[in-house]
Amino acid sequence: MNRSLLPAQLSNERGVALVMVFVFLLLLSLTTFSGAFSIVTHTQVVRNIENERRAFYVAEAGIAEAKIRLNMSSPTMVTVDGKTFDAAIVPEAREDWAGYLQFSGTGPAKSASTLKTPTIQRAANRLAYSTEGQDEDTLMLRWALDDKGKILKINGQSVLDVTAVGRSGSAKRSVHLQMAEVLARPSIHVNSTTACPGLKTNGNPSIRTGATIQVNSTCSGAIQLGGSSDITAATGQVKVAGGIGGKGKISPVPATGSPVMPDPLGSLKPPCFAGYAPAGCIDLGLKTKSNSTYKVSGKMTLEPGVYYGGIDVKGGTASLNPGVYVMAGGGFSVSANGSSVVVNDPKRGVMIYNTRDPAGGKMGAVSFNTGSGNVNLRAEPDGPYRGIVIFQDRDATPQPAVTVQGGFSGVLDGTIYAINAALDMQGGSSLQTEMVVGTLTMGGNATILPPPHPSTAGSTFASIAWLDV
Amino acid sequence: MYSQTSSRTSFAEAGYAILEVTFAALVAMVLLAGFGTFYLAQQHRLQEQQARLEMLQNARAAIDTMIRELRSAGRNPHAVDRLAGITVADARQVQFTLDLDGDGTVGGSDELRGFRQQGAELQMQTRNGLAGWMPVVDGVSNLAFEYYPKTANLSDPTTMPLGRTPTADELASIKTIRIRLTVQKSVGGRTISQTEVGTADLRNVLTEG
Repeated sequence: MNRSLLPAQLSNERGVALVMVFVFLLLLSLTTFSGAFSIVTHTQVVRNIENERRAFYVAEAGIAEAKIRLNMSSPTMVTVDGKTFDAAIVPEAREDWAGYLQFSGTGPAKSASTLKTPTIQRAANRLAYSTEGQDEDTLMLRWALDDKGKILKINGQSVLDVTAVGRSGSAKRSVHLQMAEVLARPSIHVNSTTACPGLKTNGNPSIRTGATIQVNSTCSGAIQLGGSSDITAATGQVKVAGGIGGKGKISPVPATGSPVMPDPLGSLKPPCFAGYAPAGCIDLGLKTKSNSTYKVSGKMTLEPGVYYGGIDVKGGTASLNPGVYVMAGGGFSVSANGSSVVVNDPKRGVMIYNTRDPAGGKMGAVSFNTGSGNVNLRAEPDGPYRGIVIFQDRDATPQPAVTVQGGFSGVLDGTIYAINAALDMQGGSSLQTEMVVGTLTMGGNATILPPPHPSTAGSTFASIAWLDV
Repeated sequence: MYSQTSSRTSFAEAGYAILEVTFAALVAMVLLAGFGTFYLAQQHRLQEQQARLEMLQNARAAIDTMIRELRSAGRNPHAVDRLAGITVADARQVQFTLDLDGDGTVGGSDELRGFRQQGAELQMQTRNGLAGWMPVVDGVSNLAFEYYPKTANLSDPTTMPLGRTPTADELASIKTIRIRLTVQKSVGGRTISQTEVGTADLRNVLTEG
C-alpha cells in the first residue's frame, strides 16, 4: 500500500501503540515503586534494628573494659595507638572521685578527684562508649553515694557505679553496672575472737607474707610471740583486735585494737555430693571414686570426685587431675618420706574439700607429715573455688586441726580455708601458702612464706547488679 | 478516475480499520487484563509484605522488650547470693523480681515483672497482682520459653520447662532464657504468621568471682 494514499485518520492509529506503552509503563512503574518503597522501608527497619543491637553491644563492651581495668594491678602499662599508659583503674576512696575513659588522650583533669584515661580499644575498633550529658566518647565510673552523701556500702563493700552508653547511627543504648569493691583479704587471717592467743609461736618460727596479717582474737595476748620468732608482713599490716604478748620480732608495728574482720570467704559455698547438700552448695556432678580410704603407695593418677574414707598418700606419688576432691570422712593425709602430691595439669588446679562422711563416719584431718618428697598443689585459677586449695567444712564438729609436721616442705599455692579449725605447724616444716583459719600455732623452725600466686594482691571489683536501661 | 479509485480505496481501508481497531481493542483488553491481574497480584503481595513487616516489627519490638527486662532480672544489689530472682518459669510464662524502686533491695511493692501469653496478647506484668498485666503486642499465636542452667549450653537437652513445677534450686540455676514468639495476621482472607526467636542472658546471675 502506498502510504501517501492513506487518509490522515488511519495514520493517527499509531497513537494506540503509544497509549498502550504508556499504560504498560504506568503499571510497571506503580509495581516498581511499590516494591521499591517496600524495600526501602524494610531496609530502614533492618538498619534500625542493627543499630540498636550494635549500640547495646558497644555499651556492653565499655562495661567489659571497665571490669577488666578495675581488676588490673597498678601499674599495668599498655600501648594503644602510640600512647603508653597505666591501664589499671584504681578508684580513690573519696566521694567525689570519678573516672572517665576517653578516646583522645588523658586531657586535663576536671578536678583533683577526676581520672581521665584513654581507652584500651584501638581507635580503629570504633567502639565508642560514651556517657550522656558528660564528655563525648567517654565511659563513666563513680562511687554510689548513700543518702548522707557518703560512699554507699553494701554488705560492707563500697559500691561503684559504671555507666556506658553505646551509640550506633541514630540508636543509643545505656547499660549500668554496680560493682562492689572486694578489699584484699589478708595473707593470714586468724578468725577466732575468743581463742587466746589466736596466733602463738614457740621456738624460732617465722612468717613472711606479702599482704596483711589479721588476728581477730580480742584478748591482751592475741598474738603470743615466743623465743626468736619473726613475723613480717612485707607490704601489708599486722592487725590484731586484741594485744601482743611475748618477745619475738614483728614487723611492721602491729595495729592493736583493730576491728574484727569478718570471714573473708564467708560467701564460699561447699560442693554438693550424694547425701550431702548444705544450703547453697555447688553441684559439680561429683561422682564417687572410692568407698574406703584411698591409699596411694605407688605412682597413681587420681580423678576428682568423692573419696569416702579420704586419701592417704604414704610413700607414693599421687598425681591429681584438676578438679574438686571431696574427703568424706578420713581426711587427706600425706605421710612417710618420699611422698609426692602434684597437680597433673600445668594450667589448672585442685581444691580439696574436707568434711565428714554423711553416712555417719568420723571426719578425718588434713595433715602433712613427711620429711622429704614433693607436695605441690595449686588452686584452680577460675571457677567457684578460684584460689582455694583446701576447704574444710565450716559446720562440722569437732573440727580437726590442719597439721604440718616432720620437716615437711611444700607449696599449697592458694588459700587454706579452715575457718573453725586450728592450723598447727611444728618442727622444721615449711609451707608456701595463704590461710584463713581459726587459730594458728607454730613451733620449732616452722616457716610460712607467700605462695607463688598470691590471691591477696589488692582490691578487686565484682559485679553485683546489672541494669539494662 | 482518481475520485473512483480514491473512493474504493477509502471504503476498503475503512473496513480494514474497523477490524484492525477491534483486533487491537481485543489485544489491548487481553493485555490490560494480564496487566491488571499482575498489578492486583503485586498489590496483594505488597499488602502481605507490609503486614509481614508490621508483624516482624511488632515481634522484634516485643522480643527486644522481653530480653531487655530479662537481662536485668534479679537486680538486687544488697543480696549476697546473686540470682535472677525467677519465681515462675514455665513454657508459657516467666516471672521474676528485680529492684525497680532503686532502694537496693527487692521486696517493695511492684518489684515484679513477668511475660505471658493471654489469648492473642503478649502481656507484661508491670505491677503486682492480676491487674498488673498490660498488653505489649497482639496477634500472638504462640509464646514459648526455654530455660537453660548456668552449667548448660544452648544445645543441652536438660533444659526447662520440665513438665512440672521447678524446685527453688532449679529456678536459681537459670542463666539463659530463649524466647520464641509467633505472631499472625489475616490478609485478604489468608492467615500469615511470623516467628521471632531471641535469647536473654541473665546478667545478674553470678558467674564470676
